Amino acid sequence: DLSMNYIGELQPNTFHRLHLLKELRLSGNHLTRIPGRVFAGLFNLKVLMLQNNQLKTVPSEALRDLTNLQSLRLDANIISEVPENSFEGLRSLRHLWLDDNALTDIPVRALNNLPALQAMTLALNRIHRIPDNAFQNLSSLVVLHLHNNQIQSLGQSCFDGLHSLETLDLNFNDLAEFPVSIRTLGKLQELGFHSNNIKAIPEKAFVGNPLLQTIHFYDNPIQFVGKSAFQYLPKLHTLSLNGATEIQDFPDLKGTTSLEILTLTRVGIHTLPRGLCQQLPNLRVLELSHNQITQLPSFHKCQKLEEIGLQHNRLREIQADTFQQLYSLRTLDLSCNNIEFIHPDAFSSLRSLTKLDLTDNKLSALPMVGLSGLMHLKLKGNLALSEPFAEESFPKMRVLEMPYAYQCCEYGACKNYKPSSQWGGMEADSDDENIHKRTMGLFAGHADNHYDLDLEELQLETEDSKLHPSIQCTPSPGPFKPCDHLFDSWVVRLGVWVIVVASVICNALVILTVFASPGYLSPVKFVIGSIAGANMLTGIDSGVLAFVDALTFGQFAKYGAKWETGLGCKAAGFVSVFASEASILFLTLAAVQCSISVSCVRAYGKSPSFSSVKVAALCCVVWSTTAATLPLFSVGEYGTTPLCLPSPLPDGKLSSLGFTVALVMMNTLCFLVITGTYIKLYCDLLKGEFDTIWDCAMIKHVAWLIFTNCLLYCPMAFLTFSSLLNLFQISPEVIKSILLVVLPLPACINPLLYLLFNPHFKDDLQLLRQKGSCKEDDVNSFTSEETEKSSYDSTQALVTFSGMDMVFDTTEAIGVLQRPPQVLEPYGFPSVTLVPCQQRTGTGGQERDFSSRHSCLTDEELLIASESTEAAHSSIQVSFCPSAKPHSYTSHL
Amino acid sequence: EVVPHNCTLVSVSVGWLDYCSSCVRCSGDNGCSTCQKKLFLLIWREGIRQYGACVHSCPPGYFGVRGQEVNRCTKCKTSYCETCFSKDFCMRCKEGFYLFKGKCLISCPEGTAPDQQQRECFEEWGVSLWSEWSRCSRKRQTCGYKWGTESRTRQVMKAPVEEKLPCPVLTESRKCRMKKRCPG
Repeated sequence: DLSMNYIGELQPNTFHRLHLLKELRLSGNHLTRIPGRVFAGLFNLKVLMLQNNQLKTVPSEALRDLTNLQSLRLDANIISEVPENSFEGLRSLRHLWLDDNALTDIPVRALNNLPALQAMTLALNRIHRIPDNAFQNLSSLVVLHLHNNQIQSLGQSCFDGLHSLETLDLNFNDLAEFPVSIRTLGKLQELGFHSNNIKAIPEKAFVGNPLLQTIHFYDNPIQFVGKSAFQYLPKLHTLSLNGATEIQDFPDLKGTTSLEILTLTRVGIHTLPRGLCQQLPNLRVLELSHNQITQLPSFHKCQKLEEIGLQHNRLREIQADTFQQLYSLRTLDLSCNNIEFIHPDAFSSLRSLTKLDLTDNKLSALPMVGLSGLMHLKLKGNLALSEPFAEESFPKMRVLEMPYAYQCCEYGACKNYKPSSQWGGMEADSDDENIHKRTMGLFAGHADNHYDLDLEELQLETEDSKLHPSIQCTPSPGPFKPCDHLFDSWVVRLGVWVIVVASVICNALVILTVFASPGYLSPVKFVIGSIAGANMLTGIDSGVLAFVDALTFGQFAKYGAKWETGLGCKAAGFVSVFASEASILFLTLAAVQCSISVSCVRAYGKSPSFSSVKVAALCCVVWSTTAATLPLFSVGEYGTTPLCLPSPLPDGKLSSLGFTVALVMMNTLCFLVITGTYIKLYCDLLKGEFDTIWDCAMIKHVAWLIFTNCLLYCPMAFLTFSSLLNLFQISPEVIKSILLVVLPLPACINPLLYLLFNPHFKDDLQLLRQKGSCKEDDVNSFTSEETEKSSYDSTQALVTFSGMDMVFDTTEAIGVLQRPPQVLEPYGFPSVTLVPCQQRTGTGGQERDFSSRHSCLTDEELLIASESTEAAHSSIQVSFCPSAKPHSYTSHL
Repeated sequence: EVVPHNCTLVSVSVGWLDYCSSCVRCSGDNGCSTCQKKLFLLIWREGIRQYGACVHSCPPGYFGVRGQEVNRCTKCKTSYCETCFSKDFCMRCKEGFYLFKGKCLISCPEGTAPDQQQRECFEEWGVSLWSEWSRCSRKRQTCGYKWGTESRTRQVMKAPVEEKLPCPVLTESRKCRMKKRCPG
């Protein structure tokens, strides 16, 4: 062994005394040439290794002395030339390596000197064609490797004379046509021409090779395959035809009786022949995925079938006799079909079945007969299959994929789920598949090289190593797929109930006082009332969830799937989205209205009309209805969680994520608009320098609403964006609590703010009470109405004085008492609201009255306006007039 | 020569390979993962650990497959094979088996003879059946002596490709009794 040295030159007769040497290794040296007589005297040399040198030609002179040489390695040199007399005298040479050299042609003449050659490789050269009779004298050749060349064409009779050839490797070449010249290779057993450019396999392609066992022809753009191409190949055990789109009919496999593995994917087959199993009794693996098969024949004569792959077809039902008596069947993949019905006895005789994949079908029931040996069962995507499976039905189960997480509750995964299992686990597949993918990934590129490394052994080991005590069931339950209770903790449960009760009662009160009170309904008040309406809906929605929680207490898993997919959840989701959107939009409307009326008043002296506010409110309703309806048309989804909210977390579907993000963006935009308008309003008010008298209570209330709602919306927006951008890992429990408690919290805080801090409520409530009590008393009715109007005036009329002097002047002039501070202060009025004007009694607030009054006011450099003077026909009561009784002011104020 | 300096030498417990050399990339845990050009990457497994090494020629039980990007040592398919040319084609069989045309056989097929030392089946000369014994004769006489000789012949039908065995015996003769008295 002289390999891996730095030998650059060999002298003649170097080895001449080594008569008994059998093997000489000179690989990995720097030999560029070997002169004649170097190997003289090596009478018994059988193996000569010269690979990994820098030989440019075959050392023909030196080799002549090695009459007993059996193996000659010349691979990984830079041989571009093989002299005609190269192998003369090598009568015993059996094995010749010439791969990874620079040959451009087959050394036809030199090869003629090797009658005993049994195996030869010419791979990884630059051979571009094989001439006729290239291997004529190699009648003993069994193995011929020609892969990784640039062979474009083969002579018609190029393989003539290769009477013993069993293995021919033409992989990785540039062949454009099927190598018809193989017809003379009567003993061929293994043929490879994968990774070429062959487009068609003609009829009767292998008619001269009846002993073929293996044909590799993947990675060819094969479109056409002759129907009779694979007939009468009784030894063929594997046939894969993938992606040959011009095949419409199942190939005729008459006489190819040993076929064990048949793969016909992405081909376009519609039907399988009736007699398939009579022709192929030895079939073990049948892979027919990605076709258009609608009906299956009975496979029961294919007794040896172990694997059937029918995924991505158009099957609708599985009959009783389809898989009857397939006692060896281990794996059955029926995923991605339209299967609606499986006969109750369809799987009854499948004793060995361990893997069953029914993912993405339309099953509503799964027959359990014969499935007790299952270890892998995949039912994901069968949305109608919602009832749980008893653990006892699958005693050997290891990996389960269910349509709903609730069905996994049975399998013990529920009790000790990890906090992030929901979102972490959803992405990753089961461990088993991951391991499989990893191992396959490792070897994927070298599948052809049979880089085996005991692959099967390895897989077996990984299979064994994951003998988990428990079953892996996905999707695993989590906070958003709870097993026992819809609400995880009593804190959340109590919180939700408090919110429900508070929001329903308070909002009802607000609505009552706003709409039922006989008091003047100003536009802002109208909007506040609408917000209360929306908030009440939110409260009711939370109430529904609380109710569901109470009803399913302790066994939510039983009802979870039905609830999620049911109408109730859709309705709840609709109401929830509608209510939250409407409330935010109404709030925006309120803010905009406040701001616009100020600037309008400033600019034009009047504020926008009530009707326009109503139209805007209607628009808000329409818009929020649209937003809430979208998920019903599968833009976004309500049923992904039992909370029936469009999930704030990405769960894979782009549309639902888009929907959520769009909602949040819209809401954020609304809040920005609100903030903007309110800042503007504030500035406007500041500019007014206390000369503005406005319905401050309402402005203040709206400000409070904005503040609280903005604040409470922050967590939602934060959640959505952080999950979208993967900023923080927030535990699903927290998210759920936020969704349940913080999201509907404004619905209960908004009305409380109104009830507790807004003077209008007290007034309205008083009025209501009075109205109730005075209805019997006709005498007082008029006065009560009067007071009510006045009360409105005192709080809602906007009276702008040109200057403070004016105020004092008028007050002096009319002799009004100074404002009673104890009344005004809680109202937070900036200044005295005393308006001198001509008296206007009665309820004749018509259009022209306004205009006239308006002009009157401008004349007097007094601006009197209401928030919506035009709309409030009956409302404008110019109050403070010299003739008015002083005590009435005080009482009103 | 691309031999990185940070290459960790690994000592592996396989006798014929004591260290990781000629690697382009190697790790202390798994040995080589990328070899220098023209060398074969040999990967084997011990327990759950995988080792890699770069070699000029693959060890017994493996054969080298040169590819476009990587050269690998691949295991011979049959376990009876000591060295092989390709997956199915054996060059030397293990003890107890005889090599014939790349296959390892328990007994040699018809027309071949086993060679215990080489563990091979040698193709025998293809010869025709023996002819009938000729008449017993001596000195061209078929009578008049007590003992004579008779002979038979056969022809070479097919010569073996490798002329290993000596040429077959084509003529046989033996002693035979003759009629002492010649008739007439």
